[in-house]
Amino acid sequence: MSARPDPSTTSVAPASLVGAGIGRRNPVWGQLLGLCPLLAVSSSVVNAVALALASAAVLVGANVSISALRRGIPEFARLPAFVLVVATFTTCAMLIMEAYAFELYLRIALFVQIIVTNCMILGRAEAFASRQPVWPSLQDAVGTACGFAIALVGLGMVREALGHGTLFAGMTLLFGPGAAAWEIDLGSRGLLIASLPPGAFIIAGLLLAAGNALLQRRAPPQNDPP
Amino acid sequence: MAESRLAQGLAFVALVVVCATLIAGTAALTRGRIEENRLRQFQRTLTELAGSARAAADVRWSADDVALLCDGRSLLRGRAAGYGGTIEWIAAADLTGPAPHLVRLRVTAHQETPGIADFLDRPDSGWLGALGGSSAAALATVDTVSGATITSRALLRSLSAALQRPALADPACPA
Repeated sequence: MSARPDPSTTSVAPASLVGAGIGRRNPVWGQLLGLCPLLAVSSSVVNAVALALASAAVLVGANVSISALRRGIPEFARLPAFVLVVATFTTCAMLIMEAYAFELYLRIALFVQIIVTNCMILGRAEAFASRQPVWPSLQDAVGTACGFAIALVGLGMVREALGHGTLFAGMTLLFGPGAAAWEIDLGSRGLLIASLPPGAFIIAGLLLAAGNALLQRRAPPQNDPP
Repeated sequence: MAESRLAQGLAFVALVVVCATLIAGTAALTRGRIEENRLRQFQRTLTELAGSARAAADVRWSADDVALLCDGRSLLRGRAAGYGGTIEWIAAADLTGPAPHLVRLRVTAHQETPGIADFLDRPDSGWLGALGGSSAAALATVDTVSGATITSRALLRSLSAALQRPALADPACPA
């Protein structure tokens, strides 16, 4: 960790709030937050997309309402209030998923439930939404959600391709029967470890290393031989 | 100071009420659909195993969770103590051979770890599919799923015990 450059020094211009959430301040690659659901659910693209959507809904809802209520939330009960708001949106997201994407819900319900404890969401509430107006908080939430989604779906694609030899399998669970044609069969039998938790750690580590290598090569010009 | 504390406390209570209302509202709006989903899922499973919707409607479970289908087959249901909780399953068994053997198996409810025990939800391929055609004796030799040993062993034991239920040994079709 100590070898990694401080994220605040790697970016020169203050990018937009949305861009920061995707890149420099990405919850996963920048801050290593939300790894539990990330590693557990990213075994296939469809699971990853579903969790990304649920997390995004909770993040946007929580950020916007905490920002709107920031003057009314008592200082001494700040964190309980944030957890309460996040838990409310999580419960609603879960109920909606159970009603409209039942089969997918059966597969990832547990990880939708623990969105409540996702540090990424509580972190944005505490660090940003509780101090900023609604509009910037919304942008911040969208950026963070996109960053999380990119990390989650990226890892899901790599693990599904390596672990099951397919891509976009089972998207019908989320997008209806029309999505059956999206499945790509890569023709390999699949490497079991990629779909198991150890594989998640290994692949996430490799992706993180690759991302950091890219950032480091790009950011400090003195390290960048022409 | 005391008054501002009171105001803050009231603000918190108000937040709690708003959050509770939001959840109750969503629950009320989705309840019907969720119930429908669960019921439809169960009926689909039963229809698949019984062979037709009519046969599924006629299913009557006996005390030891056996429902004879009168065509040489029988439905079985059972519970296995898995890793995260109870695994509920329904299976169709063929009684025409020397020993009852599984034809098809569906897991109807479980709380096993998502990602690791996903194979429980994919009945036609892989491990669950491979159990088809197994008698109680054959089930004893099936390998467990790597990473889900407790889950798969619990299921294997429960199935093996179910295939030895007395009602299957003497299948008398109820008139």
